[in-house]
Amino acid sequence: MATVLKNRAIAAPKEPGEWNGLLAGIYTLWLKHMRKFRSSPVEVLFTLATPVLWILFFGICMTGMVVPTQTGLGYQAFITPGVMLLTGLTASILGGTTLLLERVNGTLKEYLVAPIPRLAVLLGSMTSGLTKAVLQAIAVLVAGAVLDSTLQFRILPFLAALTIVGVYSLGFVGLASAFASQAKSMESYHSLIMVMNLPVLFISNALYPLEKMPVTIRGLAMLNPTTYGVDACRILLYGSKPEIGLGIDLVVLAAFMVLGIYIGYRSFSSVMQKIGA
Amino acid sequence: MPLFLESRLIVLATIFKQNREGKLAQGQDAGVYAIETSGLTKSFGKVKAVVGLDLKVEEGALYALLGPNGAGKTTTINLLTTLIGPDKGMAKVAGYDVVKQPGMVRRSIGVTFQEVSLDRNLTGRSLLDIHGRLYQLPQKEIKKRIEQLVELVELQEVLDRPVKTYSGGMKRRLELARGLLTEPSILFLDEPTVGLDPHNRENIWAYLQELRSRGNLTIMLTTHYLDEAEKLADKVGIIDEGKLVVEGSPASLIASLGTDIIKLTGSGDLARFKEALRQQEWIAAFRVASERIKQDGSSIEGASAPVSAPRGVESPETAGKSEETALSEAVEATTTASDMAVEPGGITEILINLTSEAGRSVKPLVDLAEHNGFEVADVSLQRPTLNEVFFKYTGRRLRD
Repeated sequence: MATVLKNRAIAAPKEPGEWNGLLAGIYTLWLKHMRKFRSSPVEVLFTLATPVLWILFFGICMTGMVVPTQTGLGYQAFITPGVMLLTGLTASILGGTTLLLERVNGTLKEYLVAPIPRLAVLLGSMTSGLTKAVLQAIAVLVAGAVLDSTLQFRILPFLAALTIVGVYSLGFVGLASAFASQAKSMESYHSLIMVMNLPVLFISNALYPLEKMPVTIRGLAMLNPTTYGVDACRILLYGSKPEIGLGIDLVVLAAFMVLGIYIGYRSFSSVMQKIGA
Repeated sequence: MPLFLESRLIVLATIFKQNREGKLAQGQDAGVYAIETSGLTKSFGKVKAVVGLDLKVEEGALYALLGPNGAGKTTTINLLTTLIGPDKGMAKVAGYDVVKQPGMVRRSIGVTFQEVSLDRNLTGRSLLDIHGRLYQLPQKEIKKRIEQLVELVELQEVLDRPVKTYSGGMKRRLELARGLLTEPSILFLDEPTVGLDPHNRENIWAYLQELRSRGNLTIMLTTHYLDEAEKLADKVGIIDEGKLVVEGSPASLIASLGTDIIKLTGSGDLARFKEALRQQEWIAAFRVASERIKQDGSSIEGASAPVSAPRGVESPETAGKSEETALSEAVEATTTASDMAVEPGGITEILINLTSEAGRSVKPLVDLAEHNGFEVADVSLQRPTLNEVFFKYTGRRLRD
């Protein structure tokens, strides 16, 4: 453990100009990933389509079946925060895919012999993943506001909710980077992600309120960062009655973000040691 | 958003970078060798990839690391390019220690890896641009260099197409351009022509030669193609099982195998010249390879019996073995045949085995010919190839 942290290759910059290298590296990787994202309209379309489909079909159809909950929201509004976070999750996973692909196709080596710290490679990937997450969350918010009158276009709540999505996504970007650093192949990465993806959505208050869950599942849901993200977004966007409370939400989400990034960093740096093996 | 802030800082970073580049150039003059390693060692688990490697590559040289697959060539490149750290030993690249100053090493080098490592979905131009940004070059400079390099590697027409539409040769050329974009003082090429067709290989060779003629670029390449090393390299290091087996110029390595052969083509008094050749101590043997090539250039295959240590002919008592006797007889036969066949004005090829290095023997040989009425039209050297050198030092043939 300690050796990983002492690894010279990824330690804080010591040589002159390395801080510049760090910033330049992060920015360049971000720019590259964004260029690729932009030049593949299919990726953009699919990632945007999923959440909109959720709101359109699942939201509208379920509305007839669901009695209003103590949050005081219509069902479509009720699931919008969850769908927004789900979008963030998807984008984080895509961020991990980018890193994995670059590792598998050898592009990573180009970065590693460039005068940028290795940390920049990880942070660059994370930053681009985060950007995609936030862009998509904006799309969901817009779709939500268009489809449902309870959501008003208001700058401050929007920004606050987007920040929540960002913090939540960064945690998952970290975890995805950890998987991506270690995964042997694209297939193993995706099977892992699939296993993670659905429980993160279902074992949370994204689609149903905590009070309606059996106690055990509610306990599990309380371990899921999605629950806190959804609660915070509902409060910030709709001013709904809190299930947990904004303060706790923020603390838990921040802790999750730090943990996720740390795990990603650890995993990435241990792989850096083995490269070329 | 911190991102906007970052892009501002990039501009600052680039400006600082430029100042530093001046210093960097000075720093390099201090180092005697472009690449220097001592006792460089790297293992992966139980596999010893590089074992106590000592290398010295002079500035401006083209050094070829030659060896079979798994010999440790790529690991050596990975160590020198700071991709991985050594277990033991020291390596300096451009005068900087790869462990203590990896950042400075990285600024001084360009690298192309063995496997194509290009992002398929970017265009060639975008890919080069990103590379330049990674090295914090100013935008204007990047644009200018892209134009120049793309001309060198002849990719102008496909530059704005996605890399996935490129052929294997184009990808290699793009990688070469990428390696050169940062104007490195040392270029590392790991198997630069592997998997390319002969035409593309020769293109890459031509670019490398063109580059070297332009300036003081040091190149280290790995290859398992012997002709490549022979054609391009000033110095060849043969590496096997992680160790340097032998090192030297292609010519000296080949010379170490034994004698050179000079091929003389000419016409005149063949019998008198042959007699004179037999008198010389520095000629181990000679044979008449083909003779009487007509003026239109078509050659009539002459007797090309293998032949004749002159001493063997003159002192039959030493030629105890039956094959040597046979040789002497063959010489006589050839002599007779050729003496009769060659008309005045006919052209003869004579292969001469030397006891010393060919370079020093050419002039005496030509003089000898002319003093004895044999007019030399052409002289060429025939040398053993690196293939044989490799076999001699490793006991194995190179396989693909």
